Amino acid sequence: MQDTLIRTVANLGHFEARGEGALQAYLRGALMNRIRDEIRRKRRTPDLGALDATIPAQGRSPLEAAIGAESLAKYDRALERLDDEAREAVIARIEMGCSYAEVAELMGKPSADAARMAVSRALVKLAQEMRRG
Amino acid sequence: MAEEPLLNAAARIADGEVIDWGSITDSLRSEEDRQTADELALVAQIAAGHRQLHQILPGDPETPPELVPDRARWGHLELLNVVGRGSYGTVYRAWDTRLERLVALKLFHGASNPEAVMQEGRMLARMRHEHVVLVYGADVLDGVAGIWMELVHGRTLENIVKGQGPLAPADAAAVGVEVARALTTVHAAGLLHCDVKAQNVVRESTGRVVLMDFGAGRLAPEYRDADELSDVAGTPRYMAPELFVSGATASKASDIYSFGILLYFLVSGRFPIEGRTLGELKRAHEAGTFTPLREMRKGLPSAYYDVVSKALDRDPTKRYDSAAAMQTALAAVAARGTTRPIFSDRRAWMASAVVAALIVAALVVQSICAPATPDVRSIAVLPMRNLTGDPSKAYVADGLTEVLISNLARIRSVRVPSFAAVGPLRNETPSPAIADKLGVELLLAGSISQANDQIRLAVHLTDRNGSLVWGDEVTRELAGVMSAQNDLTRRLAQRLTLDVGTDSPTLGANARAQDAYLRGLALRVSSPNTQEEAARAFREAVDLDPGLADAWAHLSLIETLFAERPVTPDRERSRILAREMAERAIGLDPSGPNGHAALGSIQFYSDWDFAAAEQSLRRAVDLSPSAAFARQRYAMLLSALGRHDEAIALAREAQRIEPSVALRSTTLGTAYYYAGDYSRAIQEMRRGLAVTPDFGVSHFGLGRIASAQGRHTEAIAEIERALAQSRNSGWLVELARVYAAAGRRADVERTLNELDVRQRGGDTFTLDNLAYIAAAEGRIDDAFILLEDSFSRRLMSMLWIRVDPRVDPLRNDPRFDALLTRMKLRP
Repeated sequence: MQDTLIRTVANLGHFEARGEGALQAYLRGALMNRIRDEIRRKRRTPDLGALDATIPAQGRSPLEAAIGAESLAKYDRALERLDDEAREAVIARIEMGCSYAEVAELMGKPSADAARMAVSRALVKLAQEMRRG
Repeated sequence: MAEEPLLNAAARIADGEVIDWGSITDSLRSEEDRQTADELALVAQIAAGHRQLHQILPGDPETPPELVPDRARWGHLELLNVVGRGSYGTVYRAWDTRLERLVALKLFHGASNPEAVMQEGRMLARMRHEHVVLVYGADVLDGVAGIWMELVHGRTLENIVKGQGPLAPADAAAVGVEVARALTTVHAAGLLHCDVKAQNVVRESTGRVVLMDFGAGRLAPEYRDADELSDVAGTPRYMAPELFVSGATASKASDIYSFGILLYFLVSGRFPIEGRTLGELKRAHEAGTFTPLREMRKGLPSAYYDVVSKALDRDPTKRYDSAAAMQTALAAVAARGTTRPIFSDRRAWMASAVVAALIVAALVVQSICAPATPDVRSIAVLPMRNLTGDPSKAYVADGLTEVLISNLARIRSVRVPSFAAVGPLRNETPSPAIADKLGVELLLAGSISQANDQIRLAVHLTDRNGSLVWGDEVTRELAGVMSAQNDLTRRLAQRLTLDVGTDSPTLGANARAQDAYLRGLALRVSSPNTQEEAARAFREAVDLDPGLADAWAHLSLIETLFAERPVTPDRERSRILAREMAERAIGLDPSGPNGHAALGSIQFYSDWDFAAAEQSLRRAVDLSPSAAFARQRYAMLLSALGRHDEAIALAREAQRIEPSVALRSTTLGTAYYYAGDYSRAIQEMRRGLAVTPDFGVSHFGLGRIASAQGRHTEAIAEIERALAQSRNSGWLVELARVYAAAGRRADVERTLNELDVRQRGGDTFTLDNLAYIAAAEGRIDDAFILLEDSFSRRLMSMLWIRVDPRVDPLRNDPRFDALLTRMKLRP
């Protein structure tokens, strides 16, 4: 998962600034791309939940080591079942660490507070999905 | 529709806050919701994991981190305060109740995977090295996993460089040698550190350098960068260029690169690649906009440049192939450099956050070395008036008054009465009468007032006739009042042609920490009954800024007070805590008088190590010639040792500085009493009464003197007068002894019964007092049994038995000499 950070940077690619508005539009697009990449990547990742969760730590990501591959797989499956907006909210805030202002910008919410609300609701939906397995 | 508690919990996860899952689950009605809460708890862990990986601060930067432990105990560890907050958990300063020592405890909140925590514990435990933080144990208790380890006291290299500026190359190389050794150990254990940075290297006051990684993506604010990038990420500036490429993984070479950045930062306070966002950093790496150290800071030894540029080579294969190779190169630089203490007293003094925020820094430092000026001036600082119209700002006024007093007190050529002297003169205007009462030539009066969003600080200095000598004012935001004070005092010192240095103290202290510190000071000087509250405020201050040396010193002094109460829940624990806090204060600011005064008090009262206590208290007096407190305690130490002339001289000087404080006269009187000079003792006790009519301590002192002279009726009358002023059980038990000396057995019984009733209410006295009663009644064997018991408890109240006339009936017994020998009090 350290890759997430590295890829985030790598994916920003080349960009020529043409004033602040352009930069904002670019950043918004770049963030959106990162989020969608993340979603695509998740779909490619084999479901580790099916494997024995007690396999040696070798080759596991730090996140899996700390949380357990099974739990992480359950989370990913539930995330997959959410609607796009909720999924993007979760990934932007929880996985990418975007500020609420950025999340608002991304999701077209009127304010950071509204974005916080949207993320909170998405997290509850996510947990409800996880409960279903 | 989700239940409210679930939404709130979700919002807290999104904010990156710690959550009490137990109470949330309890508040939910349906089993379904409870299951959802369990899943949310898992999401919280995953969110924390991501933050850890991103090294990104959760929540908005202005969201204050929680600063008090959210639980009081974990197994045998008692949580004291939060040291840092990592994404996987929180790091606490804790008390190990089994081994009776302070530890750092990292708790992994929520239902963590215990095996992963144990694995981290085992991994850390594999690295036993002087320069790597030492792990003591790991466990899972009440569903919370934790690792406890050695508590490292000191300042991060980040904090040091930000506070006092870049290091000299030889110093940086010397620190580098130790970091290299630590990193070699990490690599030898088959591990990568992955987060070598100035925030993760701590230098202890002893000079030991410790590499740590609390896995804290989110540390307490004092460790945080002040600049913009930190709000996004702290670590990327230390990231090797190859890590900015997709699919890259960390390696020994990337650790070496981070180490190179650290070495760059140590001598420049800057980074070769700057950027406010990850994207900017990546582009800077791509564009090769790298500022070589040679350009950033000129004039360093070329060997230092060579080490840094080799470590920072873009090509990982061209970097040092091991940390050990770097150690060798750095050792050569360190050896060639001029050797001087890395953090000299002076620099450490300047660097300490609180001291930096305080006044006339350079001046005080100079006064340490300068011989006493014959022309000693005396200035009294009247309590600042609070003209803000907001009574809740009163503490700012009082706190600043105390700051000003204690800083002027550190100037050798100035005599400044303490708050105890000026406190009663609140709202008085400067006048000859006030100057005479305080025994000073000059009076400094001031006020704080509100000016829009800012605080205006105004002061004026007058001579004893009230003529204005100097006046000045500064307007600042509330957070900046300490620096305003600083400016004013420097100008004042200039006006008085006191020698002011050119160094301007840096303001490392965080504004909220300063605020809590001022509140603590205001409570500290306000009354003996507000000491616990003061301790809470100081505790808050050091939680926000562990660099506040003076706050640690006050905490230690208050803890000592608690440790030596007749009844205290855990005397040994308080003593150890007090010592730790005093040592911390001194480590942070070796020239702060309060730290030495606190340590001296512990060495005297708790350790009974009189030589060490004398050294500490003498240092405190040297550092702050006006500090009546240290002087008074030193005088009492000398009395206990039978060095009466010195004790009397010290107490007399304290009285001269603060003639308006009755306690200074009674201390002098007590020194005479122990010296057996009863007529002078009476004279000084009466002087105390002239200053403060009906002063209880004076009456008590007069009672003891009268008793020693066999004037029993008068002794009883005086102690009853003292008791009319204060319900002090220590005084009441002395009344019982005076009755015993007078042969009034029935009154002794009656008084002891009253004490017995009080004792059941928790109000008590120390055991040695019963020995003095037994001595007065001629029950010599009983007296020795009681003294033995007191000795085994190390009761501080028996420290004066060598000179105390109340034990005269015991002196001819060989057991008395033996006791003095064991107490190390024999002449």
